[in-house]
Amino acid sequence: MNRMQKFFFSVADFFELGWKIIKSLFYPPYYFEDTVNQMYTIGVESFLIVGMSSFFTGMILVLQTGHELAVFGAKMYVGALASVSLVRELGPVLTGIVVAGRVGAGIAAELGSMKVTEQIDALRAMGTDPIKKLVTTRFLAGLVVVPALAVLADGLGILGGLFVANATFGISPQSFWKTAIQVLDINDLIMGIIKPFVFGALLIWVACYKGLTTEGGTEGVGKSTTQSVVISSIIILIGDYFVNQVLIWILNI
Amino acid sequence: MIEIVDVKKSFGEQKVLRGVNLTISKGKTTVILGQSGCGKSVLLKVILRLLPLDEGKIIIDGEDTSDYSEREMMPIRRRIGMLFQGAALFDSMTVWENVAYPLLEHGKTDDFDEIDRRVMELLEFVGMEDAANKLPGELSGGMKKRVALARALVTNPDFIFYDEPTTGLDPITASRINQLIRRTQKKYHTTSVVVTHDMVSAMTVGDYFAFLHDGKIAFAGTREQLLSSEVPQLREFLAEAVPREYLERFLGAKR
Repeated sequence: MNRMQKFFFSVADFFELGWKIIKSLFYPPYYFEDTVNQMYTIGVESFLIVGMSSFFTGMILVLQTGHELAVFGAKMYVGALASVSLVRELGPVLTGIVVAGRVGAGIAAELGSMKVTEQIDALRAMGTDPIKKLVTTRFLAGLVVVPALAVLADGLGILGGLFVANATFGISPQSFWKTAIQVLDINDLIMGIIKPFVFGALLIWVACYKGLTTEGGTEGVGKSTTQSVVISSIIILIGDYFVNQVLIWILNI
Repeated sequence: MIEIVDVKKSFGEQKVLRGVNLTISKGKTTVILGQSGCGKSVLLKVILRLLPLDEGKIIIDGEDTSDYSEREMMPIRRRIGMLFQGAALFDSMTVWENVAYPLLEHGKTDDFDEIDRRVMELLEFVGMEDAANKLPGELSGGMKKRVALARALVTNPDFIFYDEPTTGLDPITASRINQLIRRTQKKYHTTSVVVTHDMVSAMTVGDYFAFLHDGKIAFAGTREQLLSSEVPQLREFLAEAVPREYLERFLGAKR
């Protein structure tokens, strides 16, 4: 089998896994406890790093744009600029990529080592569906937790911007906050929620696929983990463009 | 009883099973012998359909499972306990949770005390009752296999498959595992299939023997037939595997 064929087969497998995940949502058993545990793991594991990266991104955003806006005498709009960029774009994408690196890698490594040590086979041999038990639980947890993390990232990013606006440009926190909130409309919020929802689904789908198809012992686990992060980061960035296109078309903005 | 009829399995170009025919008798231990990499473990996994079946038929207690889907296989799999080569315990769970898993997941009862009683009974049976709260990472290879045996037995399966139960263990631990397999057989009367290249293990636990060579069953029969077999590859395998005197002494003791 040449490389091209292999690639198409793995793409087909990838979509087959997606189809299995969707089907699995419609019949029991449902592993509520595992899903809640996964929500906790994904949320708590990523909370600090997502918060930190968006907080500093907000700070840098205001620092960079503040000077430029000041040239046009539009310094007071820095809050509006920061909040729109964060809510629409940076919050969701940053969260997606950070979670892909933190949680996606973890999922790929965990499922990968379960695969190479025959634990996945053991589950199947005991009559458990590994897709339901391991994949669907993580998928559902991701769908809930990644948008929540993105909202948190938006908030912390605006807060970071607020500090810099006050310290560097002398804009009062009240007026920064006012311009930041006033400019946001319902479409921005819809975009800010739909995007991380899609990214969460994509990154967990990729991570689970990479984990479950791991071969070749511990070396294979390493490969799967790296590939999972690389592929999901790329898919998030490419997907971001298309999600934007679709949302702009649907929301008519 | 499991009937394996003309089962074929390949991985890409590599033909591993080229038409295996074998009947596994109820309530007995059948040992499948063969060199490493000859497809013994593949055969077990194909029966459980952990690997897809290319061609042939697998009939389990009269039920033809050859065309079964993953979901249709689930109830069949629950009747079969499998001891994996590397034990395959769940790392994230304690020993107790590992053994309790099949009961919690598919058991008929939710009664915690009853599950606990059953789990501790099995852990005692394999001599691991003191390790109930340990994680698999804290156990040695032999201990893991004992826990895995307890997990495989906890649902009282009709069949139990052992994939290389003694590989990678020191002789004393290996002999302990062999004794456990025999005790399991005596106590629970399960139909057992042991895949191994360890002749000492095979001789200790086996009632019937099959020799897998070149993707086919080159020999199937009793202990006596095994030792007097004229199949050249089997004779070669036996000569390499263990000294003749040992086998004959064993044969004498068994008679």
